[in-house]
Amino acid sequence: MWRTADAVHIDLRGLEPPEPMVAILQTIDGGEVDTALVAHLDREPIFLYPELDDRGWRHELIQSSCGSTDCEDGVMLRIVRWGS
Amino acid sequence: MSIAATFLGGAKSRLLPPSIPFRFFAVAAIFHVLMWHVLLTRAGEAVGFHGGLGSTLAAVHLLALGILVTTAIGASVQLLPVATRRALVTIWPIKLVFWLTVPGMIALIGGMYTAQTSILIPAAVITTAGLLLFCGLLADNLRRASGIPVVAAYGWAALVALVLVIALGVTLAINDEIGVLPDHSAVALAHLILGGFGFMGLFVLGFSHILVPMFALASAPAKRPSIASFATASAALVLGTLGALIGSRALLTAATLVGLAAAAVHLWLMYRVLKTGMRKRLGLSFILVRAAWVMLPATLLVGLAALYGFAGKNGPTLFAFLLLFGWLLTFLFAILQRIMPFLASMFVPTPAHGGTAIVSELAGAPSLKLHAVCHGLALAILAAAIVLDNAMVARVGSAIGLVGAMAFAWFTADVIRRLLPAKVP
Repeated sequence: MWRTADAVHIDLRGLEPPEPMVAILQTIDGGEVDTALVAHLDREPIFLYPELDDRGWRHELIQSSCGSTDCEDGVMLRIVRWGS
Repeated sequence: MSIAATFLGGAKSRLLPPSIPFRFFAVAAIFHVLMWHVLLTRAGEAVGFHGGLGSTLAAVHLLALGILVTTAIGASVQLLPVATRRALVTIWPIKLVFWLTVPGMIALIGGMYTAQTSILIPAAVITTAGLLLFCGLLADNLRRASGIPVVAAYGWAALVALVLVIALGVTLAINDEIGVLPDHSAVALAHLILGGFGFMGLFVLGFSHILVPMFALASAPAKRPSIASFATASAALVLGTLGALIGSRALLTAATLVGLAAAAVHLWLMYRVLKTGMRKRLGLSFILVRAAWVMLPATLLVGLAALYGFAGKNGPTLFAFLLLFGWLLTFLFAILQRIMPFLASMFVPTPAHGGTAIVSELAGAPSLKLHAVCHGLALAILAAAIVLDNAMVARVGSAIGLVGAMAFAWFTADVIRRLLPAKVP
């Protein structure tokens, strides 16, 4: 995990599902993120989205290294608290 | 469309249009109602069913093909591409699977119900074509599933079992028409074992390794015992199939004991998942999941007792009932009631302020509570009816099951209704 000016980043590539989803929720629930978390993932964690909705967070897939939201080396998911 | 959905962009392309999985789920809900209706109207034949064409065989296939296989297709074509990162190039093959299997199943089940053998072979061929096309789609996804080895192993084994169960099914249909088999009941038992424990059983066990941790918010089960559980379950399946085909009680006994060992490891793994999960209150669906888990070893124990004549006159019927209705149907509806709202939520706008999703809104739906109560009661009463060989008790159980099925169909319609404003493609 590392921090940039606008977000906390977490690299979850190489983990089998549902480990990335659990790690993201643990990070959010643990209060380690103020407003935004960027998760680096192998695959889109679609089961995560209702959990984020319930917790008051929204999500967006962001452009990755290949210039798309959906690269061979994974996806990047930006998670932001509603109202931020 | 929600902000989230707008941003999903390319990755969302791995999710099929909702009309694809939901057409399978809707058909399963309708077949569910029909199945209980058939059992209600022909309860007398069902309690002592020992094979042969007629209403009970039709009801069994309404369940096995109409509900279990249809749901398995709908869920897997939607979820596997996401898990394997292998987007489907085009959706027409899945639509073709639907338009081959569903009309094929209707004709096949109709042929069984009316004992019209001339219908069985062409209907079986159409259904087979659809299922083999599904096998091709499944195989194409599984070969990219190196990131989820345990699930992939179960998937491959389930696929092989499906091919074999199709082959035996077509053989049985041909036999009903022209009589080529020396022992129809031996092949029918192998067909049941491969369909129940093979395709659907392995499918359920495999998907449990992702779905149960996902719902409990837990880590995936430990890999080595998971692989051991898979190997043991596969060995039990091979032993059981061979035992049925050659009529060997020793092999069937070995299959049951090995199967009990596989079940014990699987249930221990699932217990660990729930114990370590972040979410402790898992709701109504996991009451059904736990009930299904009880039914798995119960099925095997009844099967073992039936082999040695300790399960009463209708022991084999009770074994098949617990396998199909007790374990598989209970587990399937437990998971389906979680998956459908989740999939719907991907296509329904989230409120602008965030907050409660469709998943939470539908989790405690009265229709689901009614279904769960009716399903549990129907299982208990029908099991008693089979033991007592009592048609009237079976009729009462089937009537309660029918009410539960209608409640679940209502729930399915409610989920689909919420999708409609999102303009289902």
